[in-house]
Amino acid sequence: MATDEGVAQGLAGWLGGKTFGSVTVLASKATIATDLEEEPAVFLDLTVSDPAPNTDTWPIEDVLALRRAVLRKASELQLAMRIYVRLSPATDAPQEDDTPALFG
Amino acid sequence: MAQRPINPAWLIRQADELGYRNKGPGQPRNADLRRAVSVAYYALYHDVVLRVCTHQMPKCPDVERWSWSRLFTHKGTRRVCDVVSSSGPAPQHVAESVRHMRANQSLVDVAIAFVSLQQARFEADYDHAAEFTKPTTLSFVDQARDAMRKLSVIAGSADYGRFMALMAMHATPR
Repeated sequence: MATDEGVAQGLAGWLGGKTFGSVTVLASKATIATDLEEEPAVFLDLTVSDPAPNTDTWPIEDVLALRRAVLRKASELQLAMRIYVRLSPATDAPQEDDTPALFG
Repeated sequence: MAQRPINPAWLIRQADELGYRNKGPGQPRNADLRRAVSVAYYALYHDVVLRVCTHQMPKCPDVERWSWSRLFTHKGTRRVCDVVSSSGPAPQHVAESVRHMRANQSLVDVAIAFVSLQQARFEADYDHAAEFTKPTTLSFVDQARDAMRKLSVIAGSADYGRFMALMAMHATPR
């Protein structure tokens, strides 16, 4: 019988390369850790394609489609733990306080 | 002095401002991104709680509802959202109601947004290692806004009533 860890990794693997509207999963990692209620949970860290040029973030419908797909697949895999999806863009950009000389 | 209650829509506006919505390329300060995530969660939390109070006490003055809103807990509201968004066994005596709510995609989206945002707020406020970028942060703000909009759209429906009732039952008299 598959362990929770194995199932969580399977879920992360299943997500790799999948596309939800404008959001493509470029890399995925599953970690089992405790959440704010100290309950074991699966944290899915996904690196996804950058938002379209001249937009601030990904379209909400695409993000919701991704989250729903994750929950459907988790249910199919009988993964009973809570699942948290964390998205990161492929490209990072400097934040205002990354350069103390400029921003203090 | 004028009474200035907590307005969830104003919190969403503040989260957008902190996250640099529509300000072009570049990212704001990390502390502002973290604050935006936290504010987005509180916008949804207060929206849900105020809706429950309004639903349960439609004829009471605002000030009385604001007072009752203090009976809600983050844990209690989360528990209801967990029940609605999960596929696990439902509480026995409300299983039929939960089945209806789980079939309502809008309500499930609200519940998922609540659970996700509460965890994200916890990480934003306490976890040094958590990463917050502008796209990630504004996506959380969008989820809060979307959840608030969906609650507004389904208001008055049977599923909305079920959700409000279950929320009210998880308030703690004190």
